[in-house]
This record gives sequence, C-alpha cells and structure tokens, in this order.
Amino acid sequence: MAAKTTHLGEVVKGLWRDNPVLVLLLGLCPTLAVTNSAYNGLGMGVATSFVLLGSNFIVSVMKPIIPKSVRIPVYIVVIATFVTIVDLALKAYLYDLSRNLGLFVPLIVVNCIILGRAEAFASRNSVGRSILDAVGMSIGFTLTLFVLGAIREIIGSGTLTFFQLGETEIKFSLLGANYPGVLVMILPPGAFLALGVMLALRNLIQKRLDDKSAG
Amino acid sequence: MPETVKMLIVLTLISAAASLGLAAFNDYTKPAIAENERQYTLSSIRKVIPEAEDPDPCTPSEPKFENAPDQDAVCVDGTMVYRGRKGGEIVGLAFRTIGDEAYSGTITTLVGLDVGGEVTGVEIIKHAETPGLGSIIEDCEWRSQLVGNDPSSMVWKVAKDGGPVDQISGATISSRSVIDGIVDAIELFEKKNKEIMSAEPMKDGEVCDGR
Repeated sequence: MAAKTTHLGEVVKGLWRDNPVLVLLLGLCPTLAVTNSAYNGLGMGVATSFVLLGSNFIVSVMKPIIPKSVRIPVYIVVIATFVTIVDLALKAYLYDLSRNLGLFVPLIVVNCIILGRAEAFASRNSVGRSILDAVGMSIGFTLTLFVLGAIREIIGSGTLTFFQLGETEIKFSLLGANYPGVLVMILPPGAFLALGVMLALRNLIQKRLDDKSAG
Repeated sequence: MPETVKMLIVLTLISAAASLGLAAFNDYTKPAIAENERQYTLSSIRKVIPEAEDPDPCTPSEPKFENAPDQDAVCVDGTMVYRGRKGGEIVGLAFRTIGDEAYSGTITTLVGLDVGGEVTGVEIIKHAETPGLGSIIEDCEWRSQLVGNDPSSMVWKVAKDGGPVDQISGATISSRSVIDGIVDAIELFEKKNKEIMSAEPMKDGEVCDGR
C-alpha cells in the first residue's frame, strides 16, 4: 500500500485518511487529558511531533543493523531519549507549559502513535518516506489536539489561548468577560464529548465524499 | 556472528549513545531549569509578603523585602520557612505547608506571615483538586478573605464548622485543607518563633522534609 503512495500523499494521509486521532484512534490518553485549552493541545502536539520525527528518522536509518528480535527495546530506548530531551527543553525554555502538561510529557514514551509508526512504517520504509510519514502524522495529531483544545476552551471558558509564557500571552476572550463557562467541557467528560462530535463529523464528511465519488 | 552477540552489541551501543546524549543535554539545560524553578518560588514568596498596608491577593503589590528569601530559608520541624528582610531585619515570613488530605491528594500552600503573626498572603503551590470546583482555592477572590485578619481574634474555621471563612460550595474539603495549611504555619510561628527568627539559613543543597 505504501509503495504506491506519492510523496505528497505520504504527508497528506496523516491529516485526513489516516489521521492518528480521528481515524487510527491512537494516543487517546494524552489527547483527552491535556486538551483543556488550545495552547495545551498545541504544546502537547508539538512535543509529540518532535519525538515522532526524531524516532521515525533514527529507526528508519538504523533498520539494517537492528536485529529483529530486539527491535521493540531499541525503539523504546530511541523514543525515551527523544522524550527526555523534550521534557528537559520544556522545563528549561517553556516552564509554564511544562507545568501545565506535567506528567503527560514523560508519558509520550508510551504514546502508541510513536511506537506504532516506528513499527508499522519507519522499520519498513526508506528514510525519506519515514520522515514524510512523521511530518503528516505530526501535523494531523497537532491540528486535531489544537482543534479539540480550542472547542473545549471556547465552550468551557469562553477564551482561546495561543501562547502563554510568564506575563506574555496571546489569549482572546471570545464570549465576553461575563461568560459563565460550561464546566463539563473543561473536565475529562468534556474531552470525550468533544472528541465524539469530531469523530462523527469526520465520518459524516468522509461518507459524503465517498458517496460523491461513487455516484 | 551469532544473533545473540549481535543483539547484545547493538543494544549496548544504542543505550550508550542515548545515555551520552542525554547526559550532555542534561548538563546543558540544568542551569536554566534551576533558574526557572528558583524564579517560580521567588515569585510566590513575593506575592505572600507584600509591601501593601492592607494586603489583598487580587491586588499585586511590590514585595516588602529587599533580600532573596530563597537564600535565607530555615527548615523548622520539616517545614521550609523563607525569611524576607529589609535592612537586615526580618519583615515577613513565608511558610511552605502541606494541608490535610483534600479531595484529591494534599494541597501545598505558601503562607505569608508578618512579624506580628498576621496572614499577609496565601498562594496555592500544588494541588490536584477538581478543575472548576476545588480549584477555586486558586482564585484570589476566595483567598482574599484569608488575608489581613486580626491574628488575636481570628478563628480559622469554615462557616460549616462555625467559623468566619466562606467555604467553596461543593468543595468544603478543599477549603478546609487550605485553612489547615494556614493553621500549621501559625502554630509553627508561635511555637518555634525564636528558632525561625534566629536560626542560621540553610546551605545550598540542603533539603527540608516538607519541601
């Protein structure tokens, strides 16, 4: 299947056809846990993207020398290394974000998107294709988390935050200062509600597209 | 080469390379991370020892002290106490206390007291209460009633327990835990006053239990 995809197709599939969250339903734990604001979703997406790019690259480069029987331990060591780098970098340069994301940054190690792409894609494809795959998956993941975070933040608190570091922030109050907020959207159930609606919409649009191309 | 030997060599080499890279990056980021953590502690201490006559958590004020209280801390009965000084004299204290078990774990607070024992500020350092419910303890509007009360007549209880503090509805247990942290600070201040005011500051690298 992968052999026939074009280079652009390798990137685009992560956005829609094989979107890691909306279609593959991978990595739902951080997806649901940290998306209580748009900025947190964006931060988690970018952190995960860095790890995914790094691990896809290293795994595809090293695949000729990795013995089949220990490939999973090797992947985990590679992934854990990149995750630790992200964790340290966030603590050093984006302290507020690292406080918001907390334990979910170290937990990227066990995010199945990353191990999944290493095992299912990077270990079988060329370096170039593996990077394209990682780029597509990363954009798909980050965008989905950002949209999910934005929906929850707008309905839940009436604001939309793009960036926050100490006193500097890019934050819009969309529904006015008197907006009472819908608490459930900020709480974990809100993540399931918003994600459910997004899944339904994605499937609806896909169905329309399929119907159109079929008839 | 037998498969087992290759396996060993590859895994060892990869782990060694990973450790080397991480050790280098850790060394590189260490000073920045330590500075961030220090600034975070300092910014909380500044808030609980304000210059203002009538302190209020919702109104930012300049700090009352001129020194660096994080370098002038004492460890009393396992509680970190930061001492703010002006012209060498102690003008305010910040106690890092941990309240009773709340809805979800304990709540760590930084309680500011002036030399007369009046609460000048309460900051929530760490908690895992329900967002939007127990997390209201973070709102300055709620915390403002805890600050500036006459220390001789104040009763540290929520309304439900017959005291003057309005509990957060639906989160009485979180409110109680914060108050417990304040009471711990006041009791320590009264019992160990001499030690807190005159003990030698902790040295770099020393740790305190309650930290």
